[in-house]
Amino acid sequence: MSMLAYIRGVFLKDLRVFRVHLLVLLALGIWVENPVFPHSEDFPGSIAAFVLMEYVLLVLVIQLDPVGREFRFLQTRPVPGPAIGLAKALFAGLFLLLPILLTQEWHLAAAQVPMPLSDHFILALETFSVLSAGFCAVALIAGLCRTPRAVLISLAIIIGVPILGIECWRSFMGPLPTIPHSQRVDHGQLDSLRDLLWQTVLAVSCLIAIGVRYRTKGFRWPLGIAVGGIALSLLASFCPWNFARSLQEQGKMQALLSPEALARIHMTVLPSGNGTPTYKVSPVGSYGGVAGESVLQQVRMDGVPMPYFVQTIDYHATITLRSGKKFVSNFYDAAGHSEMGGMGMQQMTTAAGVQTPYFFTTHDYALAEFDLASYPTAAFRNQDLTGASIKGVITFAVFRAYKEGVLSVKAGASVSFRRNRYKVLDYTAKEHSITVSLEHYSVPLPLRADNDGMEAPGAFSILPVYRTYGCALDQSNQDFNVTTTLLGLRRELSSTTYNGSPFGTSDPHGMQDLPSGWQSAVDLIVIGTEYCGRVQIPYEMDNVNLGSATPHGH
Amino acid sequence: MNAIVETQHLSFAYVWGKDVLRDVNLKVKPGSFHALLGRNGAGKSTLLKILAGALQPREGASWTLGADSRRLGVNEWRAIGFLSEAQPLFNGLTGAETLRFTRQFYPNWDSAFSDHLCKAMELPLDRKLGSYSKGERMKFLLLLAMAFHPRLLLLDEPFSGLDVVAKEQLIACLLETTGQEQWAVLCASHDIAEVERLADNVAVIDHGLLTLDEPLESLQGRYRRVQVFGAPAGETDAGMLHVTQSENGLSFVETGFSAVREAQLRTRYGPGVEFSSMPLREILVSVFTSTEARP
Repeated sequence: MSMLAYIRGVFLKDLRVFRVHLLVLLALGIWVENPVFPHSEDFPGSIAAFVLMEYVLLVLVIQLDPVGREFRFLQTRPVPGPAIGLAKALFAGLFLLLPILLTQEWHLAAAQVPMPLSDHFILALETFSVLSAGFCAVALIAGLCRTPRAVLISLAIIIGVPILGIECWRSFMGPLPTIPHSQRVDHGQLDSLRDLLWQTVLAVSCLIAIGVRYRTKGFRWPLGIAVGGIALSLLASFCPWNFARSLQEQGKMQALLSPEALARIHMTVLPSGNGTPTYKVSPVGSYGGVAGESVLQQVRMDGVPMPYFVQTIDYHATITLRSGKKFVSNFYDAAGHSEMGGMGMQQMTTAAGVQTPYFFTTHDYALAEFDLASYPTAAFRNQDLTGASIKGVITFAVFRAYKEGVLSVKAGASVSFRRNRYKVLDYTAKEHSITVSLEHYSVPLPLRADNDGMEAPGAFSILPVYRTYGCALDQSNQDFNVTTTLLGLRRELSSTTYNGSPFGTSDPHGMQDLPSGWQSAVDLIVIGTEYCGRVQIPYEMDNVNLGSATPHGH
Repeated sequence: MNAIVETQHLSFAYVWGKDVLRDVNLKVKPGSFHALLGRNGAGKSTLLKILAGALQPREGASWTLGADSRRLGVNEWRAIGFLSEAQPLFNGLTGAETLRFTRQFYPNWDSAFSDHLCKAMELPLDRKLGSYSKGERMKFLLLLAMAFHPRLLLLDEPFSGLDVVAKEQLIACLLETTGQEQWAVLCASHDIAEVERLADNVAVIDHGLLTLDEPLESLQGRYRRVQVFGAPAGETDAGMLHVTQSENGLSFVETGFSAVREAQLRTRYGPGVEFSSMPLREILVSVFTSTEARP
């Protein structure tokens, strides 16, 4: 009897036993999650409930032949252990994972989001990674436990102990000590990737542990592997930023600037003079109960022509007080950095090829403010904070803004490009404004350095343009409603009001007022950004007065 | 190796637990029905688990069908029939579905024999196993354990909780089949009356030690209850268990009864001595309640 015959036998047995469960589960899933007559909005969290039910079914399937029980039926039959494990994996893959992947594809097709085959593959890989990590962890518990009751108790302990522990800590010890972390864009992207790594390592280690358990029927080895794998996966979730970033930058090489172009990028700290500092010290809020301050410095950026722009992704600085005391300041040690750069109106209008508002004077350099150092307030208490010096190296990511597509303001108008689709649902024209309801489907792929955040480099911005004059319009109001599903498709509904006046109308040289009927000639230009490389620039600041949250003025 | 099952200096302890088995040496020969008896928690089921490869000995070694019991493979399991009261069945399947599922793994599955056992034990194959009574479950498990003509049957508490009819059906089936097929059977049980009808060898485990392992006939031959009317107090020796002195005289259990021993006792106590044979239950009670049970 071949291995395949064994697997087939066990698989068909499981299918026979759980045929009713499966039918009910799949029917429920199709009813709630189908994109044709969707009910998922009527049942918030329905996909999570669906996945939870899948976990329960998986526990039942594995508990039918649990490895942890010494005298389970198949253990005393001439059936190889690996065949049982593979049959269970086949069951989980075919009936638990595949329906989700197929539904995901169904949603994508219904949303008409264009995606190349490679992106479909990456999305499937990401979904598989997220789901299989949970499946494998549950399967490991279900496989090692002797009875369903033991599974329930184990899951309750695994889920309950951390929750109770956190609550107890909060009650008795105060706020949790947390790893410094900001909501910054780059972090958001990297977090997604690190989550994927975490889940992948967890899944693989659980799979190995299950495999070993089925092979040897021993207990200590698989348990050791599982514990080791969980430890590794935790380590993976703290994997170095640089490593994560280098992984993400794979596949984004097409827009890279040449080393010569990158070498032309310079940052010059503008010197303070006549008692007017060019920096200010601002509070950066507290994180994990630690309040901090950051030093925001005016700089001149050379070698970053429009529509390029830079954004801080890291810095390491040493702050030396007059007393000689030194403090090492790392970008990731603080939360809520104030100025980090990013795309502005000037880059957008340049990329869109429309008039640049007057106040963006054309230079071969740009003036900007960057956060160049930060420190916890308490660390410098009772110190002389005048006359400090700061020396460090800052790392910028360089991006370029570009025009991705144009969307006319007409009901039903749409524009689609890779992993995105914009559609005008409706618009309301008034004399001095136009309000546009926009639907935006996107498929963020962490492995392609996308994330769910709106402000992420790589995400898209909308520039309203009056076509006849080729000028950008003022925006007065915007409402968002974002639905992110576990199925990978992100749907964003927005309602934005644009004024019938060009952006920067106070221009004395004059952009003209718009003629009546201007609403019919409004285009929405989708501006994208792409990564072009990274530069590290050293900097120095002298005679800095630290220690006050009040800006010194500049 | 001639023995179907053999253990040498076998010891076992659960993690963070005390010793469950200590230095167990056991041999089960082809064609023998070996009863494994003992009190609750004595280690009977643990020994079966080790022989079935579900647990690994801490010390010593064990062989099942000549193979190291830690590494029983498909070939060995094709010749081992296993029945345990604790073994779960697939409650969502009917008896017929389970039979179909199980028989595909045995090249030597005997469908005619399976049908015969079904009829003999009156098994309702069209019903789901979840609706089976305990007796029906045990009979069904026995059918699954025997329908492929195993060389070894491992039975763990096969009579536990069964009614009289079910027990009789099970015993009849075992008697008929094992008598014909010359299978080796190792049966752990508390049901001594049933075991006494089936077993030809008895092994007793007490607190993890194998205190007794011999043919039933020999065991019953050397155990006698002895009543001595009017005997004086204090006249006992090493072979006597549970010695009691009353107004009627002396009473004890003789563990080394033989013609020579009978003659010795008759010489010692005169005509007032009576010997009565003991059922297995009484012998075991004597064994379990004595610290000097070894012959």
